[in-house]
Amino acid sequence: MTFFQKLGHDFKRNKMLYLISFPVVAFLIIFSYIPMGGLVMAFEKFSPKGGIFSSPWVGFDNFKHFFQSVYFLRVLGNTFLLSFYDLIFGFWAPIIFALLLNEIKDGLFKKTIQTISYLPYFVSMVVICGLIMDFTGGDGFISRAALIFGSKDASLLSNPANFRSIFVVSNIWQGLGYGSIIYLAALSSVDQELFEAARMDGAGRLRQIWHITLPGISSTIVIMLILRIGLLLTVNFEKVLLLYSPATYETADVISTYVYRKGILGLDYGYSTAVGLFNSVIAFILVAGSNALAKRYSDVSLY
Amino acid sequence: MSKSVRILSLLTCLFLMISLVAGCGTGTAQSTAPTQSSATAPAAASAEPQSSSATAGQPLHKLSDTPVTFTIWKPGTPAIGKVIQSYEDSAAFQEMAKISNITLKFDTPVFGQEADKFNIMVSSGEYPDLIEGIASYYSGGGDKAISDGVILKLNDYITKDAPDYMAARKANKTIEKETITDTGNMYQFEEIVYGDTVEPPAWGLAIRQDWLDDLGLKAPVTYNDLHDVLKAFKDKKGATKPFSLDASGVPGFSSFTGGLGFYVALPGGICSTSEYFYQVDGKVKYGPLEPGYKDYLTMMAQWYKEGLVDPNFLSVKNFNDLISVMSSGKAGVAVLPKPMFAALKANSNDPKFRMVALANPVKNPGDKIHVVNANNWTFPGDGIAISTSCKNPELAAKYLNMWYTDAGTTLLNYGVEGSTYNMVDGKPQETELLTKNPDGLSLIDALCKYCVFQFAFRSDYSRQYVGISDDQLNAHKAWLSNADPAYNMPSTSLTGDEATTYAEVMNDINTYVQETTVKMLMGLTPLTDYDKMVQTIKNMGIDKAIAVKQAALDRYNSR
Repeated sequence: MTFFQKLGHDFKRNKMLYLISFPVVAFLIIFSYIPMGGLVMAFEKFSPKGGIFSSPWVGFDNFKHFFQSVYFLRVLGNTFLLSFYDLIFGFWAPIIFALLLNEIKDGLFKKTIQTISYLPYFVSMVVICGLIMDFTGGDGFISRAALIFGSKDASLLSNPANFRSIFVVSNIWQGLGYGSIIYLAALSSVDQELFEAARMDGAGRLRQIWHITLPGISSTIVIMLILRIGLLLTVNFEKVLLLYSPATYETADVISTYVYRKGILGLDYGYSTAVGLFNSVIAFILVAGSNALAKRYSDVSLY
Repeated sequence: MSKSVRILSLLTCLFLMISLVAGCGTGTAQSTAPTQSSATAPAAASAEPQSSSATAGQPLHKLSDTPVTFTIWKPGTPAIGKVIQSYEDSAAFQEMAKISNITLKFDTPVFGQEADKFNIMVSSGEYPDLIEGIASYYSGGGDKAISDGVILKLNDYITKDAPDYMAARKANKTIEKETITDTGNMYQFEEIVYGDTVEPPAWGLAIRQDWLDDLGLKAPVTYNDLHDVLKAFKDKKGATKPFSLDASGVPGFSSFTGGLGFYVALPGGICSTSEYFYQVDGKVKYGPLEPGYKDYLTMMAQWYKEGLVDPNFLSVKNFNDLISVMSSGKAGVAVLPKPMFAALKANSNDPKFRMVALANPVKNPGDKIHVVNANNWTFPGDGIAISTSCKNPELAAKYLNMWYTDAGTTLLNYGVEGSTYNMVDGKPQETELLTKNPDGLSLIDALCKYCVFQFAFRSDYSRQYVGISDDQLNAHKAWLSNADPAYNMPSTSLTGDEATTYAEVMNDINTYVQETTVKMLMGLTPLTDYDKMVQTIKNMGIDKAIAVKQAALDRYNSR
């Protein structure tokens, strides 16, 4: 049987499944695959008149400009560092939170905590950033509290030294509850008999967590880690854009905000496409690399 | 067991999906293009045969047998959305539409987001028939917009179909010079000053006069006086933001820094990237390289340290932010546009609130400032270009031409006869509908409602001196009292190549200057680094940008 015959056969058998997956596939094709054609702009001196098809071809000029730009190392470093801190501090937070929640008996207390911790995730990013700006800007109560404890900044948010901390801490606060859902689900699949056996052998709670719970959810943790590493270069664009200011460019300006300023505000489409393409290539290498590593050292991988 | 595994895998899938969607959202700007409804003009609309070109001085007349609609992108003023919903509601435009059978359909971006919305409109590739703002927002200017295929070169249309505009251009040498680019292109219909009354300054320093009166203080003259007044506002009036600044770190549009010897313009509106080029005796200078800039940084850093500058100035990113800071009762001094005085009072809870203009400060009493945000004969920012999407550019040119005829000028400047003006001795005389509006509208707001304000037409600035409040009249006097326009940069034009070089160099330099400026101002970078800043700006290629500007200025002077 050829591929198409197989496909036809399979289609007949699983008509409904194909129907269900159709919107997702269409979404991917229309919004993810077709726009990839626009990447050709990275090699053009794009002008609205010529459009994608007849703007002058400049080869790797746009890339050269970016690599020689005074801001190249800075935006690259900021992108990496922001995501990296987010990963090392933010990745474990939902896991620990899920473990803690798991130790609480079901009841009103647990439900309340869960609901409250999920809440920030569902509030619009603009509102969240508005809150952060009000609290950590000049006159904000966190800023004023910090002044009492010896801080020298009238506004915490506008000191480049504080930007990363504010960004990471608020990210943890925002994603803690929502991120823990998947681990809670994984935890519920751990065999309860193992715990009973451990208790018989006299294992305390910490020992139970270390020897049963964590190994039980390790495959989920590895998959989530691979996903996170793949996203290492895609910092939360909206959040950075809403929180940064010229004063904090030094630590806050990331590749995507740079692309936005160059491309949308400066009308330099070719250049910003080149920078965006560079970002995507690195991100792709990271996903593939971390996946290969995971495959080699454990039996879990994405593909 | 197996059930929970299935739930787990479902959740994993769900998570994958969500991160996918989130990934797609990242960095993708919404391209909500203005819905294109281009001119519905049938070919037969231009009834006149091609050979006979129009003659000047015709009265307003019907231009098309069938109704025609032109779409137009035009930024708003604070009055749009408050006094009238859209420019379409302006009585003058409605009258114009009735006579000419041509209606304008306005696409007006949210106030304060003009630059973003303009770029999105341009990058969508779907242009309205008429576009305002090429000079302000199109990186590279008019010539580049023509070669990029966004707008049409208008020379032929103007010579053939717009004789009145042609005549208006020739009113004096400066206007003629400034309505054509160095490459000889006419790319838009410009706003031109009508008569001899040049534009009064629209922006300048303003102060809470009621606080000055309460404290028995005199209007500050020097920077030191201003410092003492700000300190008094902070100590005695509880002002936490005595001096209000916007995120750019330097008040633009004004001569606030003129006393220190350099000039700042904000070509794209408030809080956009500042432009620091000015000229002294035909030689182009770049502000941040001049010694006055260090003086400015030193002074502002000191003020910031003393708590005299709004500590949240970095979050003041548009007009509305500025309005809310100034009407909060916590701020005392700011650089403001004159029409905002009344709006601020209306927004404030303080019944005594009174904002008045203040002469821009100087170092020593009696010093002169050589830059003025006024005295222009043309206003490229308000000009209207015809886009390449326009189906019937001849008709559009004929229509725009009508705005420059005598009848058109009267209609747009003074509205409909019998309603907003009456003819007295052959001159239009405003009625009380404009000067003492029964709904309490300020003159500028009333002008927006019944006439036209800031548009491509012959603008009669004597309007702004009639029935004007004393505070506003004094504003003109105050802002001109110690200043002359000797160092002003005229509206030069760059060639396509020059514009590319300029944009490449200045994009990076602007970011750097803005960043370093606010950091020094806030004390995050020591002021001793100023020399390093100058060196960095030079390394980034400022000489190339200055050379480009110099060449443009030389061409302008020898036009």
